[in-house]
Amino acid sequence: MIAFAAMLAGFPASLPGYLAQASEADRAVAHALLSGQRPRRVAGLPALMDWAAEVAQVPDWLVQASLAACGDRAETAALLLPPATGTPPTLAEVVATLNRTTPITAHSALLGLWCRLPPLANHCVNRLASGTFRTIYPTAPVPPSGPGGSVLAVMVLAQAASPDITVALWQDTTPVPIARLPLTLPDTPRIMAWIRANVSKKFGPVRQVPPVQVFRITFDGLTRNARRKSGYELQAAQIVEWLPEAQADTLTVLDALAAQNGL
Amino acid sequence: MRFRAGLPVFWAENPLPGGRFMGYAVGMAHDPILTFSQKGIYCPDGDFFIDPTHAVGRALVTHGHSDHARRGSDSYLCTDAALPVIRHRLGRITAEGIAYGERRQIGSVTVSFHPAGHVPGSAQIRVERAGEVWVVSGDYKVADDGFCEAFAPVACDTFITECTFGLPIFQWRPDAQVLADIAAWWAQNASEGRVSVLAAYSFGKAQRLIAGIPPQGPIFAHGAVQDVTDVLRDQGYPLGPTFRVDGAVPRDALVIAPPNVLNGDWAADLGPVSVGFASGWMALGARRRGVGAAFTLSDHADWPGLLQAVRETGATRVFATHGYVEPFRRWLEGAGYDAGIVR
Repeated sequence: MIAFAAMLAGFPASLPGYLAQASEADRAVAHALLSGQRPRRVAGLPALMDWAAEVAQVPDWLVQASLAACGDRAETAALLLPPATGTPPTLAEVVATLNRTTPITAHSALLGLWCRLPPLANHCVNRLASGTFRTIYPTAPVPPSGPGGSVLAVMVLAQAASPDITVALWQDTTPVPIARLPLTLPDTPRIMAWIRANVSKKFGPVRQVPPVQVFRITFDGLTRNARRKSGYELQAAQIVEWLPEAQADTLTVLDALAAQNGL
Repeated sequence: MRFRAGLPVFWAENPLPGGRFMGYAVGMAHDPILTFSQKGIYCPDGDFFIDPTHAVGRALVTHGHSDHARRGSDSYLCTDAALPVIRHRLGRITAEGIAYGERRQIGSVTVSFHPAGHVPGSAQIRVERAGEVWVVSGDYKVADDGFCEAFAPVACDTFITECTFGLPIFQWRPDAQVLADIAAWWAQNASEGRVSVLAAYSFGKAQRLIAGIPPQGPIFAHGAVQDVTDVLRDQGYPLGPTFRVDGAVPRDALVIAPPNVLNGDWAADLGPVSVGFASGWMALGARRRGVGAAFTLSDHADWPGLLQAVRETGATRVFATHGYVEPFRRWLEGAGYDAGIVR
C-alpha cells in the first residue's frame, strides 16, 4: 500500500518500477484500480474525518481549522492520525478489507488499516474507502473510453447577463477553462444566487468565482484545438448535473482526460 | 519615543466589557516585562527590541533569517554562533556576540540566549526581572537534527512561541527517513543521467542537507547557498566540501539552490535535471503539486513539538506568533493556559 501510494504521488517509484517490485496480488489490484475498477465505498469523507479526529483526540473546531489549511478532507483525515505502528498492509489487503466491509464494520476496519500506515498511504486508503479515488498518475494506462464520456469540472467564470458558466479542469494547481456552457438545470436559480454571493473579480460582464462548485459535463468527444487556452475542445458538451457536495480538488486532471481520449 | 512603542500586553489582549482595558491597576503588580508594538517585541526596562520588524535603537536577534535579522538598527546583540551569518547578510553593522547561557544585565532586566535548534546559532531569548521570567522562542524545532545546536527548554512564567506549523496535521517523520528518501532520489536520478537539483532555503536548511545526506557524488551549491556554507564551515560546523555552480555540473551531482532561483532559468545550463524541494510545507498535497520530488523536512517544530516545548517551559501564560496563531491560541486556552496572540 505504501509503495502504491508513493507511485501515485510520483515518487519514488514509477509505475513500471512499482509493478516490477509488487507482489502478484498487488499487481492485479493495481491494474484493476488503474483501469477504473473501485473497491466498495464504505464511508463518506465527513465520517472518515470524524473517526480520524476521534483517534487523534482533536476537537472538531481544530479539525475544521486543519481542513481550511489543507483543503482536502481525505488528506486532512490522514494527516491527523498518529504515527503508524506494526506491519503495514499491502494494497491487496486494503482492497480486500474494504470489499468485505459493511457499514457496521466500517469504523473498525478503517481504524485497523490507519494505525499501520503513514499519511500518504492513508490518504489513498481514504480516497478508496470513500469512493473518491482518482487516478492521478499521468501516464497510467486507462481503458479507452470510446467516443465521448463524462467528466467532473469546476466552475471558474459566470456571466452577469446570461446563465452561461465556464468550467475548468485542473492542470497542476491551476484550473484551466475547458468549456463555456449554458446552465439549464432545475437548480439554476440556486447556482446563480451562489454566483452573485461569491464573485471574486469582475471583468466587464464576466464574473470570476472561486473554483469550488463542481458539475458533471457530458461530451461526444475531445479534440485538440491550439486556439483554446487548454489546448483541447469538448464536442457537444453539456452540463448534466450539479454536485454541490463534491470536493473540487478531487477532479480529473486535464492531462488524464486527454490521455483517456488518446490525445 | 520608544517608550510609546506599544501597549502593555494586558491592555492589548484582555479587553473588558464596555471597552475598558485591564491595566496596571487591575491584577498586575508591575508593568509587563515585554510589550508588543508595531516595531516588534519590546522590553521597556531594558529599552531593547527582540527581532524588530523596523530599524530601532538596540536589537536582540534570535537568528540570521531575514525576517528576524533586519538592517537599520543602531546595534545588535545575538549569539556568537549567529554573528558571522548576520554580519554576512547585513553588512556593516554594530553588533556584539554573546555565548549561549551567558547572563547580561541590560537596564533593570537580565537577558540570556539559549539554543532553539532552528538553524546554526539560533536562540531563544530569556528575559528576567526580579525573579519573573519571559522567554521569546524565535523560530525553533525540538528534534535534534544532529547539525545545529539542539533545542534546550527554558523554564519561564510567560512563553512567546512561534507556531508556523501550529495545526495537528503537521507531524514530522524522523530526519533519517527523509534524508534516506532524498539519497534514493539522488541515486535514481544519477542512474538515469539527470542532475538532482534540490531547492532549500540558503541558510539553515541547505547546510542541514549538505551535512545530513549520505554522500554519493559531488555536492554543488548556488552562489547564495555556497556563500553562507563557507561562512558556517569557517565557524567549524561539520560541512563537507561543496562546489560553487559555474556552468555545467556532473550528472551524478546534487545541486542545492534557493527555491526562488528555480522559478527562473538558472537551472537551464545544468543539462537534464530532476528537481526536488525540501520544506515542511511539502506535508500538504496542495503544496506538492508542480514542485517535482517533495521532501517534508522542516526547521520548525511540528504540532507535537510545539506542545512539548510549551509543556517543558512550565509557563502558565503563552503568546502565539508567526503562523496558525488563532487555532494554536485556542488550543492552549482549552489546555488551561492563559493564552494570547502577539499583535
